Amino acid sequence: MGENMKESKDKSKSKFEIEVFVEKDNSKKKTNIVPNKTTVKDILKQLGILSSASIVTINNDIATDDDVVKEKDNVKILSVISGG
Amino acid sequence: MKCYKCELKGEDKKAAIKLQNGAYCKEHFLNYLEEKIFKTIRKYNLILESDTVCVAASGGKDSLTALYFTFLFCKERNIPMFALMIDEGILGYREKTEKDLRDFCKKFEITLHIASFKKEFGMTLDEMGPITLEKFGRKPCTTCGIFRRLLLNTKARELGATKLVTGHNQDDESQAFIMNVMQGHQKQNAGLGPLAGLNDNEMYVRRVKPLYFVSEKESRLFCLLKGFNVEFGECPYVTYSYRADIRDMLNLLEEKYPSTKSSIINSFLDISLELKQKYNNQNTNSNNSKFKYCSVCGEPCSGEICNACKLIGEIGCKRPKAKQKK
Repeated sequence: MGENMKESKDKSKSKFEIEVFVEKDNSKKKTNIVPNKTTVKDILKQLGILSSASIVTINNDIATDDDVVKEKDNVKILSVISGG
Repeated sequence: MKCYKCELKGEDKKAAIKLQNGAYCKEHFLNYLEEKIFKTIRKYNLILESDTVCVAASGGKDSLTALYFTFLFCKERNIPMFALMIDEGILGYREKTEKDLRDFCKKFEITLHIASFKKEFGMTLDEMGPITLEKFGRKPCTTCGIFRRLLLNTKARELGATKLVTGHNQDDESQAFIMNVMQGHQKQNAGLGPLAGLNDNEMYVRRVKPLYFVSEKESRLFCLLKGFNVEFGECPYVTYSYRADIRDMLNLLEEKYPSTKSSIINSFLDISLELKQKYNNQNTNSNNSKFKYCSVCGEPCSGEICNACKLIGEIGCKRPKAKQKK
């Protein structure tokens, strides 16, 4: 049982690389996440994107800064700055 | 994060946005935004039952938000309204937002008028921009702003409007205030506010800003939640603008110190009455009138010749034909 707990502990610390779509550049960027631990705020910080200047969706649903990201989530970062 | 309004009712719903006063789910956010905008309209008497309202609309997120809420407000009160778009002729940008606007107006059965730089001045901004930049060091944004304001005012007036709604939001207004302070243009600050300008003038359709307290993020979220098709992109000429630098600076400050932008506009509102009084008193000319009129085109201005006529002279483009008010 001890070994299983260690294994699941290791898995929970495992980092995964996911691609997020960044609308401002119309590009996909790679970020590292720890599933169920890394938050939207962490991802924005990794990419140098301001939370106040963006809206994030996870699987096409609006997400807030404290929402956690899972390995297979479809993450989009939408820009709020537009126009001239 | 949970919606605090839902929690008060004993319900458990996920929040869509965290604001100054709490986190809101989608439904409560939409209600909150409508209440905020209608409160702004009522508090500052932006739209009266005697008005005919023109909404300056580009098809972007802010003008569609302003257009939607103005439409709702006017419909409830049987106040006539229409939309007016200025097509500057910016290739790869304006035609996309025009399509979104046309679709929107068709859906809500809002009459849409379009005035174009090409038709009015004989040239697009793409054609004018290089001339003013090379010959006079004038950025395309300056040309765009002057000619857009001229056309918005003259066309709104010709179409019988008594108020001109614009989609200026909290971000725009806090940027404008800071820009004017940093450039020593305090007189221009006197003209800011939800009800813009210093005085009424029959030649000048008074501008009103129902989104004055709405942030860009709220505006974008609103369009997303309502499923409004909006082309999200920046004007290609934005890199020339001083405003873009101020915008980036304020966004950084907002990230670190939440409510920076709302504090800026509330600080402005605190002194706006004194500012307007000061510059109103200074504005009186030798005929004891508060207004001067351009000696070339007759439009209200601050000098002998208005900025639009000066630009027309510099560029060598056509002068728009003035029409009588309907």
